Amino acid sequence: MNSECSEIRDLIADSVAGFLPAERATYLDEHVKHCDDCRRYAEALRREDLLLGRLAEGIAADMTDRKERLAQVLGCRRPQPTDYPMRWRRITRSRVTKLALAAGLLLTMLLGLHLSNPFRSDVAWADVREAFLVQRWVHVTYDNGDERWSNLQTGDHYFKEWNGRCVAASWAANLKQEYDPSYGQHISESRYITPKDGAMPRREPRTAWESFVGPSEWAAEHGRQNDSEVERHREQVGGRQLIRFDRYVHDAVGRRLLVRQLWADPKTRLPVTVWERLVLADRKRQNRESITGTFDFPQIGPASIYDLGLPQDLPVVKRSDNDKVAVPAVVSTLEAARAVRDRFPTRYRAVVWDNNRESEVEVIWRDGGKIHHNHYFNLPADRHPEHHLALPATVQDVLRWAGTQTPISTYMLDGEREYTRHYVHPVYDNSRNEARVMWHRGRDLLPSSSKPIEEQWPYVDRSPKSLEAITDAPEELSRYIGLRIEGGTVRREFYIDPEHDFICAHWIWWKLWSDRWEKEREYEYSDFAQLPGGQWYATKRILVTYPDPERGTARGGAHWNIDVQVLEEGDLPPDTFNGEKLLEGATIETW
Amino acid sequence: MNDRSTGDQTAASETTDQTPHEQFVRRYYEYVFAVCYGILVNVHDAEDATQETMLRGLARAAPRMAPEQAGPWIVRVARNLCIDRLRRRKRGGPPAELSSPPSRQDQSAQQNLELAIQRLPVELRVPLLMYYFDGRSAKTIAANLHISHSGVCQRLRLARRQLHELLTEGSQE
Repeated sequence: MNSECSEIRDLIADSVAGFLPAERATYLDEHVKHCDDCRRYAEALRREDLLLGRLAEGIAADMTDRKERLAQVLGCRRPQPTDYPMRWRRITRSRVTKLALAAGLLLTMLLGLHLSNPFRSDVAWADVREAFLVQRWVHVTYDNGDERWSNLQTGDHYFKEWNGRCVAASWAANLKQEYDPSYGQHISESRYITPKDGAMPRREPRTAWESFVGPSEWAAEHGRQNDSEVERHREQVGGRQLIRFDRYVHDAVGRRLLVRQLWADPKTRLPVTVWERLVLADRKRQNRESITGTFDFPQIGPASIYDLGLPQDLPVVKRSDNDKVAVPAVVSTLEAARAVRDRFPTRYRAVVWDNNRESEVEVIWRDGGKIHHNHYFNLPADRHPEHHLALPATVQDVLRWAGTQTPISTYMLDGEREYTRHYVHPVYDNSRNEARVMWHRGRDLLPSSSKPIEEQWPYVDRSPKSLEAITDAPEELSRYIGLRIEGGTVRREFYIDPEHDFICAHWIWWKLWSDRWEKEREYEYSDFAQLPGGQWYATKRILVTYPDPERGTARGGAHWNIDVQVLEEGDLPPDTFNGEKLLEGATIETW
Repeated sequence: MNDRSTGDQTAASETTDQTPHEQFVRRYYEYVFAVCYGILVNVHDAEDATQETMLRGLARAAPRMAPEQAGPWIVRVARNLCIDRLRRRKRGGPPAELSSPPSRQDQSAQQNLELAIQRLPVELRVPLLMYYFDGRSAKTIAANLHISHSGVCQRLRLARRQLHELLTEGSQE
């Protein structure tokens, strides 16, 4: 191809487009007559032009439909004088959660903008919002492998976690399905939320902004809520002007920690990225400090929990007691039990020790909601005589011995905060000289053994609907009131002794093995003693554990002694609930 | 009745039954779609992006802008939005799929064509597709892309020549 040909080919391209002036066209024709290459080139370009035209036609045929659809959606929604108040009422009425407030606020903002907009008779913000709602899914991919999908229309959520755990939650069906490989090869199904008056609140479609940015926006405007506050910043990221919401928590020792950052694009009104500091347990499990998630907005998402990559034949077991009706006898047993439990003294010292050679000892001080729980190891005499407690022992022996020992750990609740303190033990030198302090928020992170008394009534706070009366109790347990709770692969049976303050004298844990129920463990409370106020408590607790082929454990058991002494105000040792003292010399984790 | 033919008129008539939104959508949909398709080269993505662009346009009261402002402005919005999406796609999203299944024997020719279009640089791809989607007028393209008339001609020329090279790559020529 010579330089003339190269110039000619530009002319060919122009001529195919129809842009070639007539005088140049003659020149082109002359050349093409004599140059086969250029003639072929011109033919090829015309063929391509035809193909391009056809491609565009094919696409444009659909495009007209789409254009009309969109025009109609927007066109038939003329702003009416009552338009906003109606929408506003409907929206405010239907929101129930905190998110509601956020969404409402966003709308108020839009409305405010709308009112200050000189074109307001033409531009209906609510319409624009509605049109934005054609967006269906928000998908977040985290760098630790977690993934999350939220359907903005239906309110359904899907989670897939790094460790294989999967969750699917459907708003409309009020159903939560969960697969956790550490709990076995099944999907457990339960209620998603417990609605007031039994009816699920109606859920309006939301925009991605309302769902994911709205709460931060709301928090940023309302200042500190409890111990967290959100700051709003502007940040230039990759040429885009983004808003960054920083969430800080004020931890239990008065520090301010950055725990979450969310970047959102005010132009597209979409969330962009999120950074989250993991909580302590996850930091340890995942061996990383934080995770970062990236948002995208696909048109399709998972349709069921199986779409998260679970095998189709994974069975579903129901855990929901939605449709059950509480049995009156069960309700009255629970009421009676709660009444006696609530009469139990709340200021006491309890000591729990077991009769095994290598055993554990617990010393608990309690004053209402304040608890101090020391956990000790009794080590064998031949190897560690200085850490050995000779058995059998009286409660005085135990307390004397405990006074000479370093606990393995201490749990403490001072009414506001929960402390977990690990010590460097002379024998168990695991270098865990650390402490964890959290705000106490109703959820109890304390080990259940820190409240030996509550352990006597393990059934009272269950929903009466979930319990059924046992009618086929074995002979030796027939003098008790039997209650059973069952869900998934787990079943618990409580045998309650009405003559001793409705204490659960026999507690059996069952596990479902593919097709049959088998005992997993069994607790027995016995040797009841009475406190000065007349309340009963068990001074012996026996645990039998049955072989578990899955974990390879053999049959085992333990035998504990329990001693409770009711205290007067002032009987508690000084600094029992002194958090500062407890934290001395420890590395502190707070979140 | 809505007078759909007003879609191409530049002045919004107060007497028409259409709302300014409707008129706006009808007037600019093709341009915007061509830009979106030109950048994303995927019908579904382009449809999505067009819709979002239109909504943004409406949210910014674009219907009341003068047409000579509104056209280039909405094209710019579409362009930025699509480039954003491309970046997102590059960051690990799924690769663009070829969509709108072509008919029968044209299939492979059309697929090759779409693949070749995808490989054209954006600045050539967009005017080329606008040309086919919107009446083959260099003048309109120039106005909406905010470039000179000769700039459009030059880009179309280059686009055709490069497209041909891409289509014949590996063959004798």
